[in-house]
Amino acid sequence: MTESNLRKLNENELFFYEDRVCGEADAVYRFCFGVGGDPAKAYELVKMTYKNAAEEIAGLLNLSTEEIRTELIKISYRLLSKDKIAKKSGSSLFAKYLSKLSFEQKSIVLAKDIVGLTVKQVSHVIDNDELFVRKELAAARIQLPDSFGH
Amino acid sequence: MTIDLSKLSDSEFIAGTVEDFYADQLSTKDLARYKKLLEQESFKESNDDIKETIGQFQLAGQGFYLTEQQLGGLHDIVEDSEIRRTREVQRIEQIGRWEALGDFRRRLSIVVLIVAIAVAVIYYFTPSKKLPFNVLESLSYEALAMEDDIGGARLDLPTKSMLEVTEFLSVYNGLTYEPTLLNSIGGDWTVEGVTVIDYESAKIVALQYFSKEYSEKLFYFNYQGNLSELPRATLGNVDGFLYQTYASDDMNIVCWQLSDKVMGLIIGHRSAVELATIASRTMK
Repeated sequence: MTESNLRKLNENELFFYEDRVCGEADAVYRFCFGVGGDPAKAYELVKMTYKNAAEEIAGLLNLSTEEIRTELIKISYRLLSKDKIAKKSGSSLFAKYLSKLSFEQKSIVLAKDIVGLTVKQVSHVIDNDELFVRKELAAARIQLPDSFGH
Repeated sequence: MTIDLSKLSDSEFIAGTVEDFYADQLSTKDLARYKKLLEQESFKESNDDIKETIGQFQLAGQGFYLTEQQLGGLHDIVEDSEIRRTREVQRIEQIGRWEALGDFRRRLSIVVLIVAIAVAVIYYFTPSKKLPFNVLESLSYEALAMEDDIGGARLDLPTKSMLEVTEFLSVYNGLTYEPTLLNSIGGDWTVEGVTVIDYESAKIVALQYFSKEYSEKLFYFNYQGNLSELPRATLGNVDGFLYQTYASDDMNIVCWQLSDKVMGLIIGHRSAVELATIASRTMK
């Protein structure tokens, strides 16, 4: 079922959403799952992220793939920041690996190393300066375990 | 704007810029600092550990992705799945129609190309229709014979009047083409008479001219034929007038297409260019 309060997208917007925006869905899911630590909750966050993106589709139309990805992660980060439950580490094994990290550190290291954003893009996502990103990125990496079970 | 990485501790600096170091994206100053740190065993070890950890972390992250059903759920946000399926079917059908049309066009293009090649092959390789007489050989012989004919016995109508030549040809029975005559071929060339050489299968109109200045004759022939029926020869061009030239022992031959089915030919002792200049007057 289409979200009832979402305006109907035109054909061009629909194609853009399905091709370009949905093409980034796995990256967004990894970010949400990494920060939140729970698969079901992560998917709910991805859906909310995409609902927000569909509402703001006009602002995404002329962006590059990297820029679209950055904006999606920014939306997810915004949603996660407001979600007290999601901010707590989930019960998954991956969540346990990241349990020592703060919410900011998890967000930064996931956006940088898993999603593949640049430091500048990460600083745009969390709305903080690049030096802060570098510091927290370093702290997160140092605290990551040596092995992730594979 | 370049950020000041000197505010990072050495361990933060290593852990926070390791990928930039290996991607050669550090500034000269930061690069020097990184290299200097790597000289210390403890930092070299932490550099290697961080690299390894990031690799392991990235590998673990790749294991998480959405299922097809979950992806479908994202599509449902903007469009009902039934409508989307219908639209996709329509799109596939549309692409199919375009493909079919494109296929038809490609086949048609190939057929057209094959036909064009076949026509070209037939056009260029089919031997030209042979004339019932050897033009160059026969008319060279006729020219020499008329040149030796002092009394004009070989002329059907010895005359110095082009009007009489025209009248003669207009009442001549058996010509299947309309000859193109020249009232004046320039210089002091004057007409001496006209004859129709009858080879039974072909009739050749021949006009004989004489120049007192050069004390020599010149022969102008018309016959039904085509330039392509003659042996290939060097093409000449006088002010846009195109012709082919041949030479016998002491005479030059200039040939050109007078009209669709009529050939013009001049034989004389003058140079090919002089003869072509005279011939070009037939086209003006």
